[in-house]
Amino acid sequence: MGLTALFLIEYFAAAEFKAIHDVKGELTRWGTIVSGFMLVFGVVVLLRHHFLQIAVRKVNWKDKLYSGVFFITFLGFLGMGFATPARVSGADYQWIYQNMYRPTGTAITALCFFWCIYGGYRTFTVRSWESAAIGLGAVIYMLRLLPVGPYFIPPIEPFGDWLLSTINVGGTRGGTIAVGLGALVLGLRTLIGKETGMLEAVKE
Amino acid sequence: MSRSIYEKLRKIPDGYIGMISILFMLIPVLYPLGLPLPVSAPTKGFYQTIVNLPPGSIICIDSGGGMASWSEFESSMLAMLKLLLSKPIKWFSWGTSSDGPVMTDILLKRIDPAKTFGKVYGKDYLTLGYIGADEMTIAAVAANTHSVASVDFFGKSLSQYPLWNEVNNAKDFALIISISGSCTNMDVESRQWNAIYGKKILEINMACCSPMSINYFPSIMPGGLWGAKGGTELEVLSGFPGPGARLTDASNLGLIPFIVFLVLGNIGYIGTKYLMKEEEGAKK
Repeated sequence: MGLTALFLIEYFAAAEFKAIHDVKGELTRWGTIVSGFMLVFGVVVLLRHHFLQIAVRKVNWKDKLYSGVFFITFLGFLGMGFATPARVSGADYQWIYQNMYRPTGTAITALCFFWCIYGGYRTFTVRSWESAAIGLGAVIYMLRLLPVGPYFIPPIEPFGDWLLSTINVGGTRGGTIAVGLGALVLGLRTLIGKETGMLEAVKE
Repeated sequence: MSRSIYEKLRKIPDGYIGMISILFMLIPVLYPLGLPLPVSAPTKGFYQTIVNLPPGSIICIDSGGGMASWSEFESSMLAMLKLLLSKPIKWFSWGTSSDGPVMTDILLKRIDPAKTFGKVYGKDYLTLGYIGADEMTIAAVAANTHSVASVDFFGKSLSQYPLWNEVNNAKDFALIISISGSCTNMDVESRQWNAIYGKKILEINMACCSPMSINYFPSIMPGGLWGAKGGTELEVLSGFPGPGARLTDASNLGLIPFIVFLVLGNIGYIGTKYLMKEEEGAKK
């Protein structure tokens, strides 16, 4: 709470209050260091979990296999990163990145594409006026993105632009302002002890 | 139409849907469409903002994005880098994601700035590695650039590069270019660069994120490239042909089956519902 208050005060403090700005700057740097450490912590937690899956826990062979693949791949990739002379900027590491990491990542994204189509077909049904508006907006937006859309239906380009820059902007800006105000009110209520929901959630 | 036809429209097997989608994506690979592409206002803004920068200006590139969405970023990043390198301006990039600096490096190797544009690394452009902590690091780069890194992407000391010694904080940057795969990226970038320092931000992001990013156009974000289409448009405007047209055709034609099945699914749903109501009415 103290940190939140400090960051809030610093935002509104004039440049003359140098001490506040300096403290906030220093804390921001600490935040960077803590975040970096959390990455290491995350790696340790993940490795521990998969090690326990392989060696200690009584789980089926499939789970052991998945954990084993993860464990070996992670350590192998990490080892290669450190072993290659120029580290991540080296040709060896970049070869691995280009020929292993990139195709795998792209394949996963490509699989998501098919799930999007299946999902759109099976679940995106027009059950109300609201869902009809969302569906129609999505179809117009996608047609605007396609080269064939404006080619065969020329008005789709200006109409799509209008939808995006007028209707969409009005809605999302309203949403953003509402979220911002809500977060501010929630933060202030928490600071003065009126909002105890989060504290209770932590206790649970 | 009878009820069975509507029900069939609702129950097309996944295999057929997948096969038709693959066929659509194969079309531009075998027969490039070559359809004319109108250049959108955000792309024009992106191009004009860079072209109008005074000579010697320094741009800070927050290089994020991910390898998994390579097809979404490749053409935009390639066209942007070529455009930047062709102008008498300087730029340095740092990674907001672990993939960002690697993607930038791969593309720079493909361009070969020294040979193609006569640009010198360290003097005209500079690439840093990934620096974690997201928004906090953006804040740190803006407040005290030298505090976030001491070595470049290749692990060499930054102090030896003239360009590094020219930048100290946000005041030294004429423009910010943010590359990201996050749809709330502009919220973060505008908070740190625009709200505090009044900097204009150009964005490169995935096509699906444009409805969120467009909120900042044109006052905070004078331009943006979203998806392969944005990259293709910049290729057209800047006169540097690249992979954009092929990628746009492939990724966009993949959307056609999505639209077709969305419409078919709804015809089936509405038709079945309507006929069911009629049957219930007849029973009564």
